[in-house]
This record gives sequence, C-alpha cells and structure tokens, in this order.
Amino acid sequence: MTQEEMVRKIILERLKAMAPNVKIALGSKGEFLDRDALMKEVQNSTQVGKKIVEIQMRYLRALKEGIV
Amino acid sequence: MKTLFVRPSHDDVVSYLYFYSKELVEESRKRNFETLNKEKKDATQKIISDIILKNEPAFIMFNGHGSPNIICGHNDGFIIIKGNNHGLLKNKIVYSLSCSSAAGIGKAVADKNTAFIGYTDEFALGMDVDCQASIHRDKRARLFLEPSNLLVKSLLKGNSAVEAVEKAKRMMKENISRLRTEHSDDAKDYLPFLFNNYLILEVLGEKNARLQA
Repeated sequence: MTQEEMVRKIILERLKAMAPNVKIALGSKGEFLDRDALMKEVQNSTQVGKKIVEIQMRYLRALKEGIV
Repeated sequence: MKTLFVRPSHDDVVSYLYFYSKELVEESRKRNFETLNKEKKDATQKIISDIILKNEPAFIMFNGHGSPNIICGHNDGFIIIKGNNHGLLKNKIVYSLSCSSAAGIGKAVADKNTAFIGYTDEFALGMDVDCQASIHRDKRARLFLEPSNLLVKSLLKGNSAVEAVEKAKRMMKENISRLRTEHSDDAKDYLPFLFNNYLILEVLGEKNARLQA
C-alpha cells in the first residue's frame, strides 16, 4: 500500500465515524455533502475528495503539533 | 462613503451566505454608509461592473463561488475575472467570501491603496441536517459564518483590514475551542473544516486601510 493509499484509508475511517446530521460544503459545488457523499469523493479521488484529505491531514498535523 | 454587497442566492450554499449577510447590509445602512445591495439575479457582471464604475464604493463584499482567478455571482456567472476586469477592485477594501479568490485575484489587486481580504484556498461551510429547513436555527453553520460577519461588522465600525481579520480569526479559534470541549456526537466532525478556514483567511495589500462613514 502506498503512503497516499494509507492516508486515504485513514481519512475514510474518520469520515465513516462522522455523525449522520453533519453536512459540509466545499469548493464550487453548490450543495452540502453528507458523510456518504464525502466518502465517495475521497474514494474516487475527485478534486473535492483530494481537498477533504488535505484538510483532514492539516488538522491531524496541527493536533499532533499542539497547534489546536 | 458607499458600500456594495453582492449576494447571489441560487443554490443551497450561497443561500446560506445570502441569509447570513442580510444583517451586514442592515448594519451598513445603520452606520450611515450609502449602501448598495445587489442580490439574486442582480448579481451579474454587467450590473456589478456598472455599479462599481458609477459609484466607486469604498467597500465591496462578494458572496459566491470562486477560484483563484474568478469570483462568481448569480447562477455562477463570472463577475470578476483575473486579467480581464480585476482592476475594478483597485483602491477599495474588498472582502470576498468565496473559495480561493485571495490566491489569484487578491494577489493581483493588492497594493498600497487596495486591501483584499479573502481565502487562499477552499472555504468550507458546515451545516446541521436537522436544521436544514430553517437556516437561522442552524448553530453549526453559525460557527462558520459568524466570524465572517464579525469581520465585515468590524470594517464597518472603522477598524482596519488587519484588525478585522484578527477579530474574525480570534472568533474562529474560540469556536474551535468550544467545539473541542463539546460532548455532542457531531462536534468533532466540523473541526478540521473550521480550522482550515482559520488557516486560509488572509488580508493582502494595504492592511491598515479602513472605512469612514
């Protein structure tokens, strides 16, 4: 498994654990995405999916470094 | 002194921005700015360009989708295009609540007479499905949009561009801290996205620019 695949797997697990009432809008999609739609974007490595991975990783790094 | 608010409302996401920015239009009027509000189908390139050229507003707020090179309006029609008409934003304070526009348009217009406040990457907006029918009750969306409103209120109050951004960032941090200590199931899920908005909000150009009614 490549590092990219590993990271994607970690983020998918995080998204899977999301509460069902949460929706997120990101980028120029004019709609809010629920847990399943967010996961689909990541699984398909779309532009939105890649951005979700980037955002989640930024946060995890910040947590690790004690920034948040 | 004039202010201009550009507020499309053609999809779910910009409808949230439209709703939240209503109080900013009112605040601007209350503070005696000559307030121009172009919303919904009036948020087009033709109408906005004409208004800017004719009225030279000192402050412009854009709501809408975007990219480094484009700020969109009604039905995602292009309003500002880098390399085409971004010069319309010169000599003003501009706040663009749209994805990534600070990374391209912001950099292109920023100078000693222009302050561009915006996001260098994709702005995220969270919402609570249980409140979908009534935006005003959505406490989760409020966490994302209240700092943005504070930023504009701060500018209208006469604070400098950099002070307004600092205030908004402080509120974002407070919202992040509040979510981290909350026990509800969904709190943790919004955190990465709120934190990202905090990281990507920037002021470019004349950071000490300020408005006077």
